[in-house]
Amino acid sequence: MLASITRLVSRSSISKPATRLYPAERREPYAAVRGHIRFIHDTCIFCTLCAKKCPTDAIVVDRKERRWTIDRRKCILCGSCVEACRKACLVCENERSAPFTQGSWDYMETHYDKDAGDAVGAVKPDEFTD
Amino acid sequence: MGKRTVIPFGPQHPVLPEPIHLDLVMEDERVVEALPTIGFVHRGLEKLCEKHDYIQMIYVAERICGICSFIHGLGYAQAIEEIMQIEVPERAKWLRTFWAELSRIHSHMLWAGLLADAFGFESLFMHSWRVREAIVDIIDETAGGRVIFGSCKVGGVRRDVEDKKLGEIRSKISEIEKQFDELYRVFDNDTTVHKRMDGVGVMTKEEAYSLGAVGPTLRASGVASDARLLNYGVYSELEWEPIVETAGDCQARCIVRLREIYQSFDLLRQVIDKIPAGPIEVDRIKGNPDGSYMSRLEQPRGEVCYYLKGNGGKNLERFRVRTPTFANIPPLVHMLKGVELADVPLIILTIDPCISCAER
Amino acid sequence: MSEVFEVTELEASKLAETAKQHRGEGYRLVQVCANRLPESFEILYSFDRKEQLVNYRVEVPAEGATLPSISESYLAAFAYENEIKDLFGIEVTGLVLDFGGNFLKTKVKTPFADAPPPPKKKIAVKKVAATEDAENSDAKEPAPKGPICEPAGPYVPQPGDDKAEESENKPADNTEEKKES
Repeated sequence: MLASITRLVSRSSISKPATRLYPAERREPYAAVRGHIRFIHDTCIFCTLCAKKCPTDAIVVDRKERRWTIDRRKCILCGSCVEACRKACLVCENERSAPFTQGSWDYMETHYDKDAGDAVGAVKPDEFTD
Repeated sequence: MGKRTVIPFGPQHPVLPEPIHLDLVMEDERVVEALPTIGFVHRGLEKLCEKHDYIQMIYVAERICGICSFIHGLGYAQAIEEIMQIEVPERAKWLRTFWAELSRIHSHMLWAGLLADAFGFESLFMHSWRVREAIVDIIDETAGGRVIFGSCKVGGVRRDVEDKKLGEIRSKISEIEKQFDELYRVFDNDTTVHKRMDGVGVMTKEEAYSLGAVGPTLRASGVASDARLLNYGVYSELEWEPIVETAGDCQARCIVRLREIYQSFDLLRQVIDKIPAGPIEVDRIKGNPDGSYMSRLEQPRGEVCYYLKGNGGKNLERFRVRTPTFANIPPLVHMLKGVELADVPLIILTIDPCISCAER
Repeated sequence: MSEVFEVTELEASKLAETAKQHRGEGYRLVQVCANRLPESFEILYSFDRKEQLVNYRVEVPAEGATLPSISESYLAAFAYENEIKDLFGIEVTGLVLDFGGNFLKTKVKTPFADAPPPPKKKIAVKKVAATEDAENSDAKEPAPKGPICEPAGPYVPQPGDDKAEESENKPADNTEEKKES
């Protein structure tokens, strides 16, 4: 049959397009989508478990300085940090992050402890033996 | 005897999804010999097992290739589970099969679009990818990412799919199948498609078997060999048979893959009907892998072998993947002898080259 | 339900005739895998017929490693053996289609040929370490005051900015600290 695709093509040329006018029109992402990692600094105890579990070393935690940083370019959205955190400080949101502009540092996100006067060392030493 | 010239094909070519280089020794318009060179996307992923421990290595395994990513992760997880004697719960095995078959459908539809683009049939290419979008949407909804699933782990799966959602997916699949029917009609009946692909790049049954071809490349020449016959996962409880064609040319390889899409739709329906309830992961994994195992799975492109060796430490000693595209390179070199120059891109595409798999 | 994995030891000299025998029996070549042990290379050959896998393990010393080729019986082996040559530096003799080291292009020649690093010794962490850490960190720096709990936001390092060099170094220091601990 010579033009067997005629029916398909004529139907698509009459109906409205299958694509949407991105970026003017955006789609609502599904609830299960792994978009970006969000850090809640209120409950963090700086145990550095999330940094240990991160396969790409995107999360860097300094216990002495009480600082938590993430390098979003290195994050592969595997969710290991979310599963490792005991205090539920890390959540995987479903919005994908915006593209990073060249020459700026907006891919690095840094958080400090809310009141660094708290006593550190609230972690049991068992966690560090592999 | 005509004059001999050498024409370099690749690594950049509009038809190739990934870079591979072939030196075509030509005599007038016919190819006498083809010499492949690979290594343009070699990332040395096998050596990363010295850096990441065996639980994190699954993320590396998943990212060997973007199109066939889930089954790479699944093969790695299965090999580790055999070495460490971990018993995976039933529901996890069925969910893994569900995602594996979705992965197969999306990969074959992507390939069908690329094949149509290779011989200039752009409207068929666009329509194939439009139908594929519906499948990728289902994957996005259930697993979290469009192509990198991130849902397989050592000891089970990481997220569950509710039964209500599985019911919705079952009805979506029936609609997608109806849309795919129209595409299959074009691939099967169109005169221009037949003129380009019939009788091109023929490989007989003995040649295909002895050269080590795997997957649809082998099944299109008449050999009923499918790694799912090894009954890994839950394939022993599903009704299916390997799809075989006998012509051995490009059209046969195309039809095998399209019929496999129908077979995967059927397998998905069986999986959704029969999936049991229960836990999706093992509670705790103790110890380190000690020993070696080779697990074999069926990827969309053929049979993949995962050889893992552990020596009691947290890091594996050796992580070796023998991907189907690597095994299909010798048959490709054989098929290219004696064909015309215009048929070369088409024949390369019919082995479904996933070069990032071939040189991890 | 899953298949059993068994490996038979084989001498390098008997490799060619074993391959020829299997070719006559109708086996196909599945894969050839090389591995670097501290003093030698071990190469695993796998053949398959009707979903039954047969594996052989050949060991050659690391210095001056040579291996006979099986590409006379199995033409498909040329791809695997050229790959072994390019990645591990094992010399394969008698190859039907020899690329001379140009099959797999890499920036560094024979990247996998080096011996694996020795296994790290396990360090047991004692209970004293945690409290010492607590006392030390309390004494060294006072807690920073002021609004600290906001994210840093986009940071563009200015040319004449000393703080830019400091903050640039800090993430690197943190990584090193984390790896030591």
